[in-house]
Amino acid sequence: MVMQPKFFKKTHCFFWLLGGSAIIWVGWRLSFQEFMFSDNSPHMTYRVDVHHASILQRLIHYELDEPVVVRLYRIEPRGLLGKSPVVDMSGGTAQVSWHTAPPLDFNMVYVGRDAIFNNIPSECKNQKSLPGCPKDEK
Amino acid sequence: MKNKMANRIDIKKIQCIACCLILVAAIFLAWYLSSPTLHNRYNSPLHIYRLEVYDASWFQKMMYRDFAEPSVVRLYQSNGQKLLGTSPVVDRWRNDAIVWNLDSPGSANDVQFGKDVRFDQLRSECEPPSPLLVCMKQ
Repeated sequence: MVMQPKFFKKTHCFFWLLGGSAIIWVGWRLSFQEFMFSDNSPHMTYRVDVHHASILQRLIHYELDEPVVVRLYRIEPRGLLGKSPVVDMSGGTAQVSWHTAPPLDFNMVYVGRDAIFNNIPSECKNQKSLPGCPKDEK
Repeated sequence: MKNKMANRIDIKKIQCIACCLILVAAIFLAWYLSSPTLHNRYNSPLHIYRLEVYDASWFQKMMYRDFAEPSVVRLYQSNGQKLLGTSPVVDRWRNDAIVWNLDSPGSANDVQFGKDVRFDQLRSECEPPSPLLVCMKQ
């Protein structure tokens, strides 16, 4: 039996480490969603972040021209209010319509054609002093 | 004799895997403690620039313990996601008003965040060739 030099065993471990990090890196790369754009609500209560879909999601939704994922955040206190499925944003539909404060106070947010968030509390709820909000009746 | 050999190899393998795991955990911990977390993003009036406000990382919080809300501010070009500037750690508490001075032609424009952060030498939002209709009217 040939004696293996001592460094071989160390290199062996090194390759394990390298392989493991390569797998982690590939997994991260496949699921990474690149930031596209964001928009704030009229009174800065909410924010919408639009990300490009990850490589995996693009493979799954190959029929979409520009697959994106939309997330709706509340700013203070910070919280994720909603996350859309993978939707298409091709053909100049990258528009965010905020229906969360007068004159459009319908508790909804539309992003593009397909991403819709319902039951979003009106911005007037927390900040009664905002211009356009109905005044408190005493 | 054979049994003993197998035992030794197993221990080596376990050592290797444990080393890998510890290294990965250490790297993850270092990344976690040194990365700021996003507080909010703001778009400039014509959506040419984007200001991102981050809560400072754990390390930075330790370094600036007298700050109430230690923050880091970054300015991006929205189109192409190019990073234009990063601020040092500043206190955001009662010091978070954003001023966009982006109207004058040339590159004498600036963006201010509170009293402490200021990004200079910015181009006007209507820098030609600008496809925006608002800029045509000027």
